[in-house]
Amino acid sequence: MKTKIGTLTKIVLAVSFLYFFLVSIGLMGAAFKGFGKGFAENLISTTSNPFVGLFIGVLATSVIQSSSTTTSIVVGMVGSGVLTVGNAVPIIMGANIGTTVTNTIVSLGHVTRRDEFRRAISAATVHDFFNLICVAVLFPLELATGILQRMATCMSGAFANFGGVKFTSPIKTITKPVIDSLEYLLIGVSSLSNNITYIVMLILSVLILFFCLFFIVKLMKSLVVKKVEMILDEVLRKNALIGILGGMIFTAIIQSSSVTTSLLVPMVAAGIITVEVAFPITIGANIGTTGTAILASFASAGATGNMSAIVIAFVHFLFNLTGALLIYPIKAVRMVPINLAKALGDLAHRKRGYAVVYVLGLFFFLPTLLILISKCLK
Amino acid sequence: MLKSLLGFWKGKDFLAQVLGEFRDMLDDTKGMYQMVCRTLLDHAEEPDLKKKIYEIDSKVNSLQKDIRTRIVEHLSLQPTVDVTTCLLLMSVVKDAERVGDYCKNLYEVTELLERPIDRSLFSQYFDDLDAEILTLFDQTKDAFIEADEDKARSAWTYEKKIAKGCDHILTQIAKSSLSVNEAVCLAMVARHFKRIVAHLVNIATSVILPISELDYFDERRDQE
Repeated sequence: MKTKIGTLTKIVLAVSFLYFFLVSIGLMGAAFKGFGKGFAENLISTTSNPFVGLFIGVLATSVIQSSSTTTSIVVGMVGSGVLTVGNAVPIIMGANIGTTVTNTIVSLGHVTRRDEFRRAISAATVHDFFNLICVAVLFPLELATGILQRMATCMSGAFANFGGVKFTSPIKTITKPVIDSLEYLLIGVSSLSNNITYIVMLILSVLILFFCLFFIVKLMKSLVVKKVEMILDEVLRKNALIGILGGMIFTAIIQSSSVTTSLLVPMVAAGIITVEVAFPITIGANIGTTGTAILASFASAGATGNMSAIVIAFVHFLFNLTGALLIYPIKAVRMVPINLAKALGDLAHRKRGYAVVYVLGLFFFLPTLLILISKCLK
Repeated sequence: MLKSLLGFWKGKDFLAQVLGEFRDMLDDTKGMYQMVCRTLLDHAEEPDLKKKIYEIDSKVNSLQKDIRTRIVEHLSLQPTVDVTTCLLLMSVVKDAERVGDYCKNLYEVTELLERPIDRSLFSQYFDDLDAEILTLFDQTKDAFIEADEDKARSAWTYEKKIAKGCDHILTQIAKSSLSVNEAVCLAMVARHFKRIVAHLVNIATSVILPISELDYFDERRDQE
């Protein structure tokens, strides 16, 4: 009885946080719109260099350690028109790289036992290398052809034609009263100047988004982890397809790929599963994590009526799905990120400092440096 | 796939799964012990005994690995849940696996014997120790699975008696006029019995001992 009440409370809380997450996206859109045309032009010009966009995505996600947050904010920006889909695509790709920092940091916890550390680093960085290869292939392809954007536009169009807009309406209906009330409180009641009001609104929306995502992940994890444990053997020891599906479903429920991939690190470190077994689950997690942005896009499109939010969310989904289809099916290709991760593991096994250099270099110094260089060249 | 999905809703949780596997380990080792004793002391004809014993031992070893794997998986997913139970299980599965090994060693004694041990000769030294150990298997299982402290304490008292008894048997055998083969084999039986009992009692007393004192039940018993 006590357990049932506990579970019910968690479900109610998770639904409430999800509601406020959707509210935060709507509020963010309103804030961005309030900043006016000048702000949008400035932001669009800053991110017009796709490389800068890519590194902003890497850096921002590495700092906040949540691609769901970055992509949701990007979706909010695109939905409110302050960012174009074209400019947002590299940021989304960068976020995919940045999100892998969390499990790499988790793997550093095994530093005291060399062999374990080697396996942990390999388990964590296979996700990094997978995303780096995806970006290396799909980023130039997207720049040259815009294929992902076109496919996503096509998908969102079809979606709208089959009632997509109607589907977003309930979200708008349920979130609008709260968004309107908050807007009224900030604009109508407070005596702040317009710009300050919108800055406060933006900060508030980002804080709500952070807070809600943090607790959604925590609550959903505690709700499903026991069940996941029951079928873990099936997921780990059957075939890769089940691994991909398992990783995808678990991540879509808890809305965090970092949690899924971080859970795999100690298992690989302890030697109970191999990097090869963990890899499909990681790929599944990469696809599953796009659910958050899709959800946010419904809220954003519902609030603003701008289908671009849905387009960028689908770009995120298609990018990860295409990456999986390009890399996993052929063994020789599949082994590239696995072997790179193992090589890095071996390197870290010989000299543990390399792992720290790798984390700081790839996720923080390199993107910062490249953003600064791009700025200077501009 | 459907089975997996159904398992998601109907599956046993971590503790139920692991305790089930541990119970299987104890049942299997008891089975090994019974088969070996029947052959060793009652001269029962057990076809393919060696094959059976080695197969069960291998199954016990696999169960030990499975339990360890589940523990690592569990702690990876829920690092703060059931930590003490996990540490305790890590310790007791080793004991159960050792019981399996000693049963296998007991079987090897049957291969060393030049002629079957006569029950009356055995009883002269061991009384009905083999039957008492068989009871201890059940007592250990009940104590551990049901967390029965009374049975755990009873096993603890019982071990002292058996350990002393086995040492006494060794002394008697050393002074006896038995043939070398008989003396060596009986001494090995006494030694293996003592070790089996010690590991069983390690398992049973884990119910009442703090985690830091697992396996040191004798020290604790002396203190109390």
